[in-house]
Amino acid sequence: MRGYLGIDVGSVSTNIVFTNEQMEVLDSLYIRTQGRPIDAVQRGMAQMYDKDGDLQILGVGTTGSGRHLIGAMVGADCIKNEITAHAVAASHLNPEVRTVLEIGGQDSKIILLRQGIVVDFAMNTVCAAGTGSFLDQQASRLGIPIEKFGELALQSQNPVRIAGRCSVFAESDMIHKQQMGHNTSDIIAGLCAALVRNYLNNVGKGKNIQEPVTFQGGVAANVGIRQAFEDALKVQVIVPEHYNVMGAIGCALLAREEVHNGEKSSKFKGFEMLDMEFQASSFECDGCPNHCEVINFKQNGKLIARWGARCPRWEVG
Amino acid sequence: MGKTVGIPRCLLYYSYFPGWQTFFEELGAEVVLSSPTNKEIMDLGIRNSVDEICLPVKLFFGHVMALKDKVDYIFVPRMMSVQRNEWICPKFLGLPDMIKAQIRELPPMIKPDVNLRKSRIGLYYAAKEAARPFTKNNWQIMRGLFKAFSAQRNFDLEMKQGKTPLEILELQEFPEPEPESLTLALLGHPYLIYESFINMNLISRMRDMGVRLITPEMMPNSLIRKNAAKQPKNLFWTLNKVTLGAANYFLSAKTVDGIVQLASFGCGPDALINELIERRARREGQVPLLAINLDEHTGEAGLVTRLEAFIDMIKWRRVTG
Repeated sequence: MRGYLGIDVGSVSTNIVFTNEQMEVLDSLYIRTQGRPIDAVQRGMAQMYDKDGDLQILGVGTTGSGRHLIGAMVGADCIKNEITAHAVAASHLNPEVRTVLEIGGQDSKIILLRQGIVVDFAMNTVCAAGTGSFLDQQASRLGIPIEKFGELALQSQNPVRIAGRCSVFAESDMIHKQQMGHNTSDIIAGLCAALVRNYLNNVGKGKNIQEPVTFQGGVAANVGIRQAFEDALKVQVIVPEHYNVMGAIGCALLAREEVHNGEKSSKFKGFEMLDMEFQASSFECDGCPNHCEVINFKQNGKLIARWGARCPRWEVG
Repeated sequence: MGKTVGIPRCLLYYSYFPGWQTFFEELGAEVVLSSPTNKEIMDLGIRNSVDEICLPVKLFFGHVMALKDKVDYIFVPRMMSVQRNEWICPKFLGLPDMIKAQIRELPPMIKPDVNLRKSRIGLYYAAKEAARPFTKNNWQIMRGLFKAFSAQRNFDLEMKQGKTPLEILELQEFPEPEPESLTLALLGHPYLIYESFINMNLISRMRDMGVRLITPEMMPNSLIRKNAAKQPKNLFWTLNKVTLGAANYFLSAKTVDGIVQLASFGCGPDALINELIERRARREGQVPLLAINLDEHTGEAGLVTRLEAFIDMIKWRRVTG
């Protein structure tokens, strides 16, 4: 099978998709990064390769916060930021789309499109309140599997009001409500509403949110959050089929563009890569008072890339 | 060999260094600069400053710490006003006091009050005060001031011709932009947009991406003032007035492909003015605006992601435009 590979290496999950030449998703994987992106990508690609041994990769794209690391590892044709990747994927699946809400592990963003073109976007600032990691953390504190979180929120009759401005305060507010005797589903529904409020106030501040609205990223799995968005925005919120791998789909699309639909040969290193040993290690440069933390990236013991320095001293020739 | 005067390489260094340097050298002093901001200076600044001030002022503390044992005097002007009926941010007014209260074993400070709010004669008093450790000779002071004026004017002219202080003062070189490349306006306090450590080499990043840059320092003052006056009320912060005037101009003249606006976390005037700019940008809706808040965070990923996405967006608009 010939096609394209898209890899989105996020803080919480690593997503890999394989599409055919018509850009239909044939296989998609959602793996927890667990702090080891190289390992996660190797595991995921091995899984794909085991399923279908004669995959022929025409192009590879990487995105997400680990895009440069994994891009160097697999030999990516296109290394793109996640905003562009998400926008490309959303407008590919639905050319009409005008608003993309995206909430991932540590990032949340809003992208406005008009006639398939990004006209404005915003991302959360340094605060990660209201993103997937916080929901994860709260789910495990309450002993609820994260997959059930949304359903439970929908069962609520009287959602309580939770302060959602800061996740630390939200947590103490939740504990307060729980000690007062509110039931869990009401508290969770309150949390969903609080996160949405926080998102719309910070990320979506002043943005002209128009239909169709799509909601993507890992958190889109949470029907409670989706419902809270619909209640707050008074519009229908569409969750696409491949909501949790949209970034990966986007960079597969961009990779296809980069290799001109397969006319140009890909830089992909091949599935032999699965047996190679990749190692990233860091050291502190003592050349000047900046003390840059420089990262060496080695493939089978041979240095292939280096980054993290503020000056050209450590550039690989 | 003359006495040494230390000048911290941050804050208004990017605006007035050529004038200051010439003045002190004319008086027979030797000017010593701290090294360009690095992690050590940043850490020193954060450790030794008060908690509530903005990042660039914290950085100033770091530069003073880096200089203090190497010089006979340290130059910490009390910049109150550089323009009639306007003020510089209050943190600058209190700068010498904050330094004195926080840092032990300082060399004597040269801390003239620079107050031109009522009249430009204020500059003469400031020069006289700054010259005190070196001379009382009025004629020498006037000559120093005159030469400082002309050095400063040359510097300003070079900026008007499209050079940044990074190229003039720090002798950095950037690739020439292609004729059809994007033009972006980079707005914000000079001590943010030219401070490569805090903004994670934003200018060189943008220039390496082939972007042609315009900063407020390259624009005619009259144009900036005229456009700042579009606001119903007159602003009295000089530096923010410049940002606002430049933004208002680009939002209506549409001579750039986009605007990148920097703000410092914890800066009161920025919080207000940048909100005004964002609102106008939204209202007029023609020129894309990217607002970036800078703080102590050293993760480059956030900045790079936003910048790349912004440039992608503009290019995409252009192709389909």
